[in-house]
Amino acid sequence: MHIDQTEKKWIYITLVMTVVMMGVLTFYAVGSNIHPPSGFEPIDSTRLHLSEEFGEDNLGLKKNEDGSLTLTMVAARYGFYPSTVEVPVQTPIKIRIASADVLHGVHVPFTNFATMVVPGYISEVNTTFQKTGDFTLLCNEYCGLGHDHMWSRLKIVPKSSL
Amino acid sequence: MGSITMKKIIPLSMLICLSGPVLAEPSSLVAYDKETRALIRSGSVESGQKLMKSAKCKKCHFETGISDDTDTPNIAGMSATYSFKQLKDYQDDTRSEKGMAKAVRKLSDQDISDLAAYYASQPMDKAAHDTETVPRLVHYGDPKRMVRACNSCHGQNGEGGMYDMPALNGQRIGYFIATMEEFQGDDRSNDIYWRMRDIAKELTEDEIEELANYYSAVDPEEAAD
Repeated sequence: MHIDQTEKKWIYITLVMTVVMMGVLTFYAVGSNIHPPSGFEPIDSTRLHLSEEFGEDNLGLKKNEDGSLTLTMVAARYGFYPSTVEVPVQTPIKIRIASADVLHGVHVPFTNFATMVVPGYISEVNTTFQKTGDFTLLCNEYCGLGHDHMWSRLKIVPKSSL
Repeated sequence: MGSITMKKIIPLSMLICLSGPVLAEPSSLVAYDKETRALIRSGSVESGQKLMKSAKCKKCHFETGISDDTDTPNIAGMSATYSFKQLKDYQDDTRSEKGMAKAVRKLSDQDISDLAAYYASQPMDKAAHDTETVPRLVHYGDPKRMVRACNSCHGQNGEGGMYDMPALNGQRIGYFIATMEEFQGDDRSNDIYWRMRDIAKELTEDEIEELANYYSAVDPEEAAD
């Protein structure tokens, strides 16, 4: 089979790129323990609002018995709920978020908080926000016609004000 | 005897205190799970048509689902998933309106599914809007106030979105404004996760009126003049 020289060159380039990208993924997965969000904790997305953890009254920031903080949120077309949340700066926070409908991704620019929110599973992220200010939660997985309007507000405030 | 009773009462009251705060009822008991979706799909237009007459729906909403009163919603062409949820919410008292609560009290889930299917099959009333003067909120919302564009949930042309996102086109102006005011005052709260309450609370009276004028059908009272 004849393959043109230029075509052959591009086949090699794409193969090398694929190997490099697989290498980068493996390096960070093994070396820095970066892995897909949470530990496959299933939940029925269609009945999310009827569940105890993701019921409306239970969403938001809460102090646990051991003094640690948990932020519980829901991603639903088209927003993250509660729409505005306040969290203290430089404090470890466990964020638990679930989708009420389709695949979403939550990303807060200028922080290290980003995760996919897969329907049927709870995504869990442990993070510490470093700077105070108003930030925007954005959806970064196309989720429907209103995807580009899917945002909510994260207010990172001084520890003393909470 | 009295001391035995007290011994029983005290641990019980302690148990209640230790069990933490009692959570409020969810904003809606309807979940679009597999069973509910199958039930809504099974709705029969023919059965719904018969029931619409005997259940007195037609008294206010008429056979066409298009009312002659500005405060009575147009329900023609509303998705069956939306109508099903609203009727169930009236039944569960998660949406309050005396007349509707009474009207749906004795309906079975299948009856509700049939009625939703019937009114979904009726052609929607036409919106009276002028497409050259579209309110900015319809397409762009207002990110500074966290107000999402209307068409992101309610369809590009207000024809309605998925599941519990109703059509706005051809709605009655009085009902539209009253509904937004209910959301603003938390008098209506069956929008799961505050999705409409959050937005309505950010809107001004003028904006609500502008949107109502844009989406609504010709007011029957004005048309009669």
